[in-house]
Amino acid sequence: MIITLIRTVILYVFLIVAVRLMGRRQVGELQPGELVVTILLSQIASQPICDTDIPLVYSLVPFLILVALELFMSVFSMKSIKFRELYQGSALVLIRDGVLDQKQVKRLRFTMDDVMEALRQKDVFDISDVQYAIAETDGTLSVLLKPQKRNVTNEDMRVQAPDAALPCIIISDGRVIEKNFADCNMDYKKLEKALANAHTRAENIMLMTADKSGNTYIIEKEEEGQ
Amino acid sequence: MIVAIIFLTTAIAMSVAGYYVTRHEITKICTQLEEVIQTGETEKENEASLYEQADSLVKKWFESDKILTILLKHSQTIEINQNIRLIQNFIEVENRDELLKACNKAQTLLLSVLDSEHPSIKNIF
Repeated sequence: MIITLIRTVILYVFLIVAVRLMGRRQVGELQPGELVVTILLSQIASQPICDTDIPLVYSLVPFLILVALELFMSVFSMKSIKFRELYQGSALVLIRDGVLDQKQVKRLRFTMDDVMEALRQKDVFDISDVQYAIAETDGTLSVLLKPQKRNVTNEDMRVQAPDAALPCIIISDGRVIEKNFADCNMDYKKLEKALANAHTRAENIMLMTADKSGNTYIIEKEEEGQ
Repeated sequence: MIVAIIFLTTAIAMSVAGYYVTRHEITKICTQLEEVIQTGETEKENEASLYEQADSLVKKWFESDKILTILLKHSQTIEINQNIRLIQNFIEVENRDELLKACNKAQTLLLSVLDSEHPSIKNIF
C-alpha cells in the first residue's frame, strides 16, 4: 500500500508539471495532438498506480517522451505554417453569406444537427443570419452575423462610452490581497477610508473589489446561523 | 525547446542505460549459472566447490536483484527470486541434483527475460 502511495505522489507531480509546461490550452480548448497526449498521459500515469507489477520507470520514460514530443510539435507548428496545417488541421468555412457549404460539412463529418447545435450555442437560430461560420481546429464554431443582424455598438451610435475599469479583488474572505493594490491604485490609507465609510473591518468582509476609478464594492460575511 | 530536448535526452538515456544495465546484470548471473551447471556435471566428486560456486551465485543475484527490480516487471524478478531461493535451500540440504535442476530453470528464466528485453521487431510489436 505504501508503494501505491509513493507511486501516486510521484506521478501526480509529474502530471502537474507536464500540464503546466504544455500551457493553458491543454486544460481548456484542445488541439488534436494535445488531446492525444492528454489521453495517453492519463493512461500512462494511472497504470503503474493500480498495477504494482509495472516498474515506475516504464511510465516515466514514455511520459517524458510524450511531453518532449508535444513541446517539439508546438515549436514546429509555430515556425512552419505547412507543418501546423498538417499537425493541427486548418479552419474551414462552413457557412458563407447564409449558404451552407455541404462539401465542407461532409468533409468534417458533421451532421446538420451538429451544425445547428453549434449555431444555437452562439445564439444563432437561423442559418440565413450568418455571414460566415468557421469550424476551428479545436472543433468549435466561430460565427460572424450579417451586418443587419449584429448588435448595435457604441461606434455605430457614435456614442463615447467611458473606459471600463477592471475591478480587482482587494479583500477575499477577510484577507487583504496586497499584490492587487497596484492594479487598482489602492493603498492601505485608501482601504482604511473605504472600510470606515462602509462601517466595517477587513475581517468581516467576504469580498471587496476596487477599480482604478476608485469605485469599491463590498460584500460582508453573513453571521453564522443567518 | 530546451525543456523538450532535456526531457527527450533524459528519456532516451534512461531507456538505453536501462537496457544495457539489464543485459549486463543478467549476462553476469547467466555466466555464473553456467559455471555452476558445468561444475555440477563435470566434477561430480568435488561437491564442495559446486556449493561454494552456487553460494556465490546466490549472493550475486541478490545484489543484481536490487537493480533489476527497477528495470524489469516485478513478476519476472519474483519468479527468478523464487528459483534462487530454491537453489539456496538445496545448498543448505546439499541436494546436488535438485540444485542443478533449479540452476537450469533459473538460467532458462533469465535467458527468456534477456530475450524479451532485446529491441527486436518481435518484441516491439
